[in-house]
Amino acid sequence: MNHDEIDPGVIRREAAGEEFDVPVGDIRKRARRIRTRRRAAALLAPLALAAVAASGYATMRADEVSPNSVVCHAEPRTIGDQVVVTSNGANPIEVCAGMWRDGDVNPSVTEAPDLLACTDEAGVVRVIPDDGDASCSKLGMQDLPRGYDESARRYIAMRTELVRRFKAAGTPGTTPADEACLTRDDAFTVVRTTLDREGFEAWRITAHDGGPCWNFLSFDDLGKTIGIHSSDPGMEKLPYSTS
Amino acid sequence: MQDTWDDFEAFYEETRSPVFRAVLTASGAQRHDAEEAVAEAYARAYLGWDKLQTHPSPAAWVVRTAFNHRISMWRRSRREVRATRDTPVTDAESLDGGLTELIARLPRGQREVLALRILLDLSTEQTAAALHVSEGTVKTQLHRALAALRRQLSVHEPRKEPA
Repeated sequence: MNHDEIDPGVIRREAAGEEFDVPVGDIRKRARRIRTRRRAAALLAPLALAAVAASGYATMRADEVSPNSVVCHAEPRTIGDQVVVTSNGANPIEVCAGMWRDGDVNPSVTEAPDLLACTDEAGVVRVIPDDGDASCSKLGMQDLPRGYDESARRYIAMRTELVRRFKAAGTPGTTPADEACLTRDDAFTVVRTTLDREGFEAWRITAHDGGPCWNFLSFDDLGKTIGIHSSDPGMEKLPYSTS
Repeated sequence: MQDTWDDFEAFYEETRSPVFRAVLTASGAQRHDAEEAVAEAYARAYLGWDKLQTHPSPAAWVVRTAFNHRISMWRRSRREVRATRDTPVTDAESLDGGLTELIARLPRGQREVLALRILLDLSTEQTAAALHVSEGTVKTQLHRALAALRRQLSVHEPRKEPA
């Protein structure tokens, strides 16, 4: 056979002869089982919601959900293979769809399935594949709150601006241009003014003393706290970290 | 209700083997998994038959649902099924399962077009409507799929030098 001449007929011949022998009665029985499962799920859903309410897991607001990262799950459950992605402010489903397409969630699958964005009781965004039966409530989670995308965009904008201003405030002539080396008071002032200007007035600042050079930040988005950290100037350091 | 069942039964008898062949060949599933996925998809089709009858191609809907179900099954088992068959292929010109294996490596979009356009023998227009894409996309995906298969086959089989 000349493979340069592959045509649709070759593919049809490859599949030829395969028959599907399942009797139609079995399909009907299977349909009844699916219907029973769906009815049971519908009956149990209010109980699950009641349990959630009883446990104090009230409906979350957008600003109570972590905008810092998104967890992309390979299966419609909260355990198993998962990829944690630092958020860039994009919609979580778009973020995870990109990870699926790149084969980062499952190397054998490079097409994004239908996806569902939920938030767990800790406020972590979890994106699960939707096989048609999946729902956030079945997995003990909530739907992503309305307004999350806007809230996440504001947070990412604040984070980016804070890092930019922190670096720009580094002592000129004494440190490399891409590093900050601030006094404690200067570091505090830069962070406070940026938070206030970006609309994050309620956020707190904590100082972690480790040396004379205040040169990196940490972001606790769920605790609504920015950490300012100091170290010896010669130590290897990260520009900022998230937690 | 009986009319609905009769309609569905006629649809099932007419389409079940072409649908199964499309899913088995283009999804990369083993025979047992493909049977499970197709049976599940038909059962869901029956439950939604009233609405599905107005779909541009109910058979295409079943194929896509079976594809989705297969991915779901994979997630449950946390393994990727290899594109091999339990049943030997009897066609003299077949490639001993090699072609099926190569098809399974194509991106899902290309495999879906291959399944609907070639194995289910839908028109470009019907395929586009079933997949919610443009006819141009269907043509492009099909061209890419066939070109990729040609390339892979020529890589797998060493080219003979002329005597």
